[in-house]
Amino acid sequence: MLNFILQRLLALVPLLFIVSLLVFSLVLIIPGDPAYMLAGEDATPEEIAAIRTDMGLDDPALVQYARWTAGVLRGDLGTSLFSDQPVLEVLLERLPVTISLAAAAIVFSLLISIPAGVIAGTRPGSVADRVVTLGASTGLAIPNFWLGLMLILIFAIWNGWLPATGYVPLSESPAAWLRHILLPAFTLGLSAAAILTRQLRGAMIDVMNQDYIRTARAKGLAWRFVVLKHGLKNAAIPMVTILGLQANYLLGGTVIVEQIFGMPGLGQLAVASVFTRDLPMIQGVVVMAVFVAVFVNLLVDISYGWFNPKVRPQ
Amino acid sequence: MSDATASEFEQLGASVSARRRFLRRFMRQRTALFALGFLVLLALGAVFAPWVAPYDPLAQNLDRVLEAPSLAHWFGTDELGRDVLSRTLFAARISLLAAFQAVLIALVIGVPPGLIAGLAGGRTDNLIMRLTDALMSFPPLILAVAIVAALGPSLTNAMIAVGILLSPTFLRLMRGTAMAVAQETYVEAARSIGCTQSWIIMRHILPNVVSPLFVQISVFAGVAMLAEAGLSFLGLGAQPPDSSWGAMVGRGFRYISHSPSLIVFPGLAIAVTVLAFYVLGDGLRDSLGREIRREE
Repeated sequence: MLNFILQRLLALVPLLFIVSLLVFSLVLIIPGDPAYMLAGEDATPEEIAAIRTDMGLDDPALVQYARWTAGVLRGDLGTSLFSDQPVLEVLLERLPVTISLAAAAIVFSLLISIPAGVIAGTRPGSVADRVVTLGASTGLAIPNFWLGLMLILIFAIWNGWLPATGYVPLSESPAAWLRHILLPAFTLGLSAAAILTRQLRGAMIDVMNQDYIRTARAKGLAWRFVVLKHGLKNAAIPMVTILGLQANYLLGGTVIVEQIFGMPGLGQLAVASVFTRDLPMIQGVVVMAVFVAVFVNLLVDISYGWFNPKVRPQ
Repeated sequence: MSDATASEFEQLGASVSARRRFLRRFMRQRTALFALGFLVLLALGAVFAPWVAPYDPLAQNLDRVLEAPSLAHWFGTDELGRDVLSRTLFAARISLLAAFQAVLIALVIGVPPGLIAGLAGGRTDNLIMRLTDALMSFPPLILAVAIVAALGPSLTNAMIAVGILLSPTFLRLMRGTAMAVAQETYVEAARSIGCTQSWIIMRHILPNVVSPLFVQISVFAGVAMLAEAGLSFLGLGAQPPDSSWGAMVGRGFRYISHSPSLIVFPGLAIAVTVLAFYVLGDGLRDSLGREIRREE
């Protein structure tokens, strides 16, 4: 198992190398002179020249890349052009908000998709199955920002049951955290719930046609026991993979959801930084997001090896 | 007639009847046909918006701002007294065009390298796939925001970003098909009688990938439309005076408690259109023969 983990970690090296190249090249695709952009519209040529030297923009791209990567490896992501704070400091401040939002969204999507997928997958073609399938397609088609606004309208503005915006750390008050996270987590998690439901439904249909299910039923095991113990347990394995893939999408989705619900997370920071043209901050957000995504996928890979010894290298 | 042309002829006949079978199966998919009908109607409505729309989408009427839906204004009016129904119809042009723009960009970026990776194999394949994996390890919307940040907010730049995000799936689809088809005996035969690589691509690989590609295009038109709506909602896509459905929702956000209709209608338009693209994609997939159906 340790070998397996080491091998996975090693495989990340070339991946992260290419990712770092891509993130760095964001500076290179800026049309025109980045120094000009960073200096603002009424900068003098001297100021721009100073910024060029300061940023090392006169060096060859390769040297700039090496310097940037060396910084990232040391945990130095540069300084915000907008607030002059170290980028990493700002990111670490906001990371818990995004993580708790994404985690709540995952929990929520599992709470919906497991019962829905099991009900639909054990009775394919039934009315319940059709309702679930249509619901899943609809869940995929609804834009999450629109869903979020509708939820705010219904639950916050019209009825005042839940707060429309803001965030309270879990450590401060679990109850307030839950009240603030419910609507955003629902908004973010719905499409993941839809995808997981479709996946689980398909897997359940396959599994329920297996011989061992027939055997289990023939020997008189209770239906519920057969479905949960023999059916769901086997159908759930591919769900782990899908969940890993969804982690990427959920992190991406936080960009919109945090904006709507006024949550001070990474996504909101990314959007705000576009408007202030704070490129080091954006690069930092991307690096941080990729880091989290890669880490989650590593965990998924490892858990997969744990569940299924066949994928472990011999 | 030589043997080679005879087999070509047979194959041509087989592919025509496969296409006919596909069409016959597709014509039986009622929901998919319904979705296609809706999309055609929507496209017509968008193209003929100047004639169909009851009002000029930019005409302001400051005496009638933020009105609820009424007989005169079916979808109500916005903060400048503009007719929301007319604006929704005109925005359909931007939303539909943007979605196709993104899918086209994804095809252009994804298809050729996928073909190269599948046919060349070895190191080239390895390099291209590593790049693809790296691209796919980014949380999609964050990468899109970063690209828009670098290029500057505009609808075209947003669609370039979305196209880049969607391209890996096309790449993988092309690569998989190219690899599978290259192993076939008929390709080996074609190669042995001296057919050129481009002949093999045009004649054998592309026909095989067309159907699954169309399924993916339909689904991705929906995905691209959602992504465009999200970016425009954030203010990173369509810029005023242009307005897409996502941008309309973004503007309506400010008046949410007073005029929910500003958000409800363009949002519904997005959801229904995206659903239609998905249903159409599902229908196309179900119409493919079992032998070439792919679960992507």
